[in-house]
Amino acid sequence: MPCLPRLRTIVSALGLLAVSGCVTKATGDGVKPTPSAENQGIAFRDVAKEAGLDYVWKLTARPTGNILDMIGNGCGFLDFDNDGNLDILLVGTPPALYKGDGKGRFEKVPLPPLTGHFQGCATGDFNNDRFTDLYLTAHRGGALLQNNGGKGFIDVTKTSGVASMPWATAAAFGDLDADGNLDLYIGNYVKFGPETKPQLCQQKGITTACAPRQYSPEPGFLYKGNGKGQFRDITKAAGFDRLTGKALGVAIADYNDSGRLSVSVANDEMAGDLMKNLGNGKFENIAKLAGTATDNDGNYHGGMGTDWGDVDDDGRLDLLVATYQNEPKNIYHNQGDDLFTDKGDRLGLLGAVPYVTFGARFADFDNDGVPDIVLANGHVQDNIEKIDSRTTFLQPTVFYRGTKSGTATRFTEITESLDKSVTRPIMGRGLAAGDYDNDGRTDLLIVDNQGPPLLLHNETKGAGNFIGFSLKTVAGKTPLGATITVKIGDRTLVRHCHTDGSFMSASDPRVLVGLGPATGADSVTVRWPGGIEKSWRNLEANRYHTLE
Amino acid sequence: MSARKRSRVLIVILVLLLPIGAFTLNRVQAERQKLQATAARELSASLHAFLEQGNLPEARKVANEWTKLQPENGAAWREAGTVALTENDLTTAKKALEKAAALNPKDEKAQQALGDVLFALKDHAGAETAYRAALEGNPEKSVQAAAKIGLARTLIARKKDFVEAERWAEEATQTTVGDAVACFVLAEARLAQGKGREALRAVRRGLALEPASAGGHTLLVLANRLTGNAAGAKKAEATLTALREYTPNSPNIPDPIRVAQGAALLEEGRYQDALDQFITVLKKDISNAGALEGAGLALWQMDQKSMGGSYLAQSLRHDPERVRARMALGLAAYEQKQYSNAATHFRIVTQVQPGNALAWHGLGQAYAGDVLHEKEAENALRRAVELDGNQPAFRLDYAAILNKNNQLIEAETAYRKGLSLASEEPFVQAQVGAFLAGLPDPQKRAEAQTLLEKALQGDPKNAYAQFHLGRLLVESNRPEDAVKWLEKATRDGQADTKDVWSVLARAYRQLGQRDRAAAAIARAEEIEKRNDRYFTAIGYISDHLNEPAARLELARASAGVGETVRALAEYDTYLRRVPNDSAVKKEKDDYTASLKAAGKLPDMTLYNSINTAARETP
Repeated sequence: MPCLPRLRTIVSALGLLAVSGCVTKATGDGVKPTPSAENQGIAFRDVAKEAGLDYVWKLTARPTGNILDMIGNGCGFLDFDNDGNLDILLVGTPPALYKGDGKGRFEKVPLPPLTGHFQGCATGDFNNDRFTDLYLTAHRGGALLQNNGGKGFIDVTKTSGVASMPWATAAAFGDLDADGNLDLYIGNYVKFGPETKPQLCQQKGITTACAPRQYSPEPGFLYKGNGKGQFRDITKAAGFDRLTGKALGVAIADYNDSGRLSVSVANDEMAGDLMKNLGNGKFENIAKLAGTATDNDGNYHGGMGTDWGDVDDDGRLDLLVATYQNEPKNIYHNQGDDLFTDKGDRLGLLGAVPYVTFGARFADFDNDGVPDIVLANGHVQDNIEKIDSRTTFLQPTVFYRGTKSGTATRFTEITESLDKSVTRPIMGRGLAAGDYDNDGRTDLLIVDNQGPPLLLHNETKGAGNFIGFSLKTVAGKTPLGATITVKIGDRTLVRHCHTDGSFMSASDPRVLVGLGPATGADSVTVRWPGGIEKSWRNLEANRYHTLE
Repeated sequence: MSARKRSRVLIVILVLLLPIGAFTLNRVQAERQKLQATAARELSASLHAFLEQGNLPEARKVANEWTKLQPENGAAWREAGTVALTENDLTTAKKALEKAAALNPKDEKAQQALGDVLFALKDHAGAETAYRAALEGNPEKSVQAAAKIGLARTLIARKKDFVEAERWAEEATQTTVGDAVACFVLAEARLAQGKGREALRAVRRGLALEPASAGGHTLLVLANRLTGNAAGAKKAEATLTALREYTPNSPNIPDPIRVAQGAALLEEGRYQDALDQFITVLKKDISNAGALEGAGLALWQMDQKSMGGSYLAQSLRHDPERVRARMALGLAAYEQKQYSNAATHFRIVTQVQPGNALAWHGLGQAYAGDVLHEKEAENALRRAVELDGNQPAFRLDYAAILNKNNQLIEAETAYRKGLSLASEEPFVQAQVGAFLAGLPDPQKRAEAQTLLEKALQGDPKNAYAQFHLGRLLVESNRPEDAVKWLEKATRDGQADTKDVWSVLARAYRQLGQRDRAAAAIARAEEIEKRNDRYFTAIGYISDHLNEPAARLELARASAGVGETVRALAEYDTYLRRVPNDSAVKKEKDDYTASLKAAGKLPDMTLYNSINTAARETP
């Protein structure tokens, strides 16, 4: 905003002037949310320990961490053995895989020997064998792990054609060219290594992690998959060489109902990217004109986690982008015609402005048919309290409950009403959503990069009915990016099948739709990537349906 | 009818009314009380009017009438005592004030005045009791300060407890702004404890406010002696002698008198005359901090800020606690966006005068301009508001920092308070409107629109209001109206900022004008790119202060964002380290010439003065 000189009051005969300049505000304005009054039963409990997750992330850098130490890790829910129960992947050095029994217990199972500084993960069946494969992002490396028929994983990186990445962070699988094979986008962050100067910076005379501004961006890469485990770099050919860099979040969706999957990339203190799929193997970065590159005032933000979801039942997917401290947490409302407007503040996310938000996800925690939001937070400077007394290094995970009044959607913060173990201050980073005990309520997995993971069991009382979908193609694969339109009476809910999004994490590919009091869906229409549609009628509530 | 006549008429009416027997006794009493109260109010008003006029005899007569009319009214006796004290009729004052205190022991004003009378009568024990009684309640600030000063003086006179005396005097200097007596009493308390250097500081503070105070110079002699500064003591003695010997007809005017006269001329706005006085002093004594400060301020007012700044910086070299010099340099530093230097100057003032609301406000604004000092800014601005809540600018700036620090409910309260203080000021309407425009509540956004429209009626070229009204209209899906205001902001208000172009781009997009949107985005990005380069250079320089290339990059980046002072300063720093770089020298010369041609060449002499004075701050 323009900073204009104003009141200059002569206050003494000596002519000293009242200073009264203009304080520019970095964030949106608004009122504080009223916590908890609107919760109406949403409850979680951290069950990580009792579930058997004995993994611990440690922040060992001393006296203070650099940008690589502080960026953190992702996590994932996946069903690697196709037993119908979600398993858990915790990414770190080294990563760890835990097999779930569908009843709340997880047991560690081996991964192939892996070396490297791993960051996050992406899940998808890239070799069309119906088993979920993995890509682990890493600083100066990366690993493509092919599922060995549900018995474990094999490191196929060397033969896959996927190059060692400079600093891969977020990645996502999607069939971008609708040829039936998953392609892979890998976002990279900044040019940084032990040889880079500076490693640490000074703020207010205190040595601390440098901001990403200090480093040049690393570009991302797009790989075309052949469905057999091999990939070819098509970054330039597809137009992905025109991305900004400094990526921390990737989410793929058919946001414009074109039947084609487009790619949104959240970048740290750089313009965000929205790669619109033009349908001929080419993509155009429309973020600036579309309005998702910056906040509403043209400010670049520290884009981190991201997710697509329809917040207002208008049938169009909106884009959630988590950001840095004192930046609006964006919900880019999709107005159609490639036009987005950030309504995060207006919809109620003002209370999250002070946080450094990484993991971000839409999910309907109370199955009332309206998406809720969870944001995992934690600062990137472990000594920030000495530098900026307004904030803290460890920060709570914050929750927003979505409600509808007429056509208007509103998110109300309910953090205060939740169990303290759930919202305890952490170095929050990766966040994944999934129903690990198949009870029809979305559970959460969150990375605390200086402690054990949080496995948040959804214990919402009085949750609405649900209907779950496990989507499969004719070939039995999970069609990432497929959209599902569920009609219940006069309401039409649009959801999509995706594992990507949030921060360097992978979520349950199943689609869980809250129905509220409805006892079933009048109709369900699935649109597979490529545009083919199929409909089902009168599907009953409170169970998962496999739609092929 | 004069105040006095009016009150006499009322008394007559009261007397006439008393014997009427048609009323019951109670009704008569009630009526009498009512009339007495009315009369008392009238008398009080006329008494104060006479006191303001300096008409003590009339004031005394009214006070006497009042005590006769209401002999059991403590306030009447207090006022009578105060008038007598002002007339230096200590015996009458003592009687009246003792009566007042007896009638109302919790009358702090009466207790404080009684303390003054007893102190003057050398009844130090009685004075101490009275002052302590005055401080028992929560008296208004002026009474509090006077009682504290009185109590400190009493304790010193009784040689009872110098530590306590110092504490009360110190508090008095904090309660008031610009009270020389408090400083002198503080100096006395410190001298009594053998704290020479601290005493010297307090004396200097007092003499900065009252340069011609003989008492102050006496203390200066003592303090210099105590610190072993024989030369200083000798100089102070000479000044004291000159002051004692001075009469209005004396041919030689002592320096302190000239400085005081110069200060008075400054107050009257006679800057050239004031400057003459100060220069006369400086011709004899180039190190006279008061004269240096006065000359600096006079030149400042005459728009010779360059030279004025040099004088002010010089004055601070001789006396680092010169408040007016600090305030002027702090303000200049703020205007030149030297936030750290501005904070240094304002901070010193808040230490010297903790009750100086303007200094706290300046400190808050300086912190607010500096990254990562927002919490400090909030604390300083809160203090300014606590000290003087009636300044709309203080309220609004406090609200703005609360908003920035995400304390939105508190920010809204502060904005509304600011609006209530100056509801017709366009800049206030614009500020509050801009805040409310960002709130989710549709009613508040409607209120914001009204305020922003009002602001633009009062100040049609207010780019800030134009931008926020345009922004609000974009949010309300009214792109045609929004474009009108936003384009005006870029044209009339010359708001060539990233925010305006970005919001304008959104409005164009809503209208389907993609080419225009793309052009506006390109402009916003161009500005952002320059901003980014600047902030990157700032971040880098903190670790590479001695790297010439980093200095040069910061110079160029600063030039790109219009930070002219910083750009020129960094060019100079670079060229000091790489003096033979002719290409950069030419680059700097070209830049300087372009600024000059555009009328934007900053005052680098002033910059150097500010910077030097801040660096030399102890």
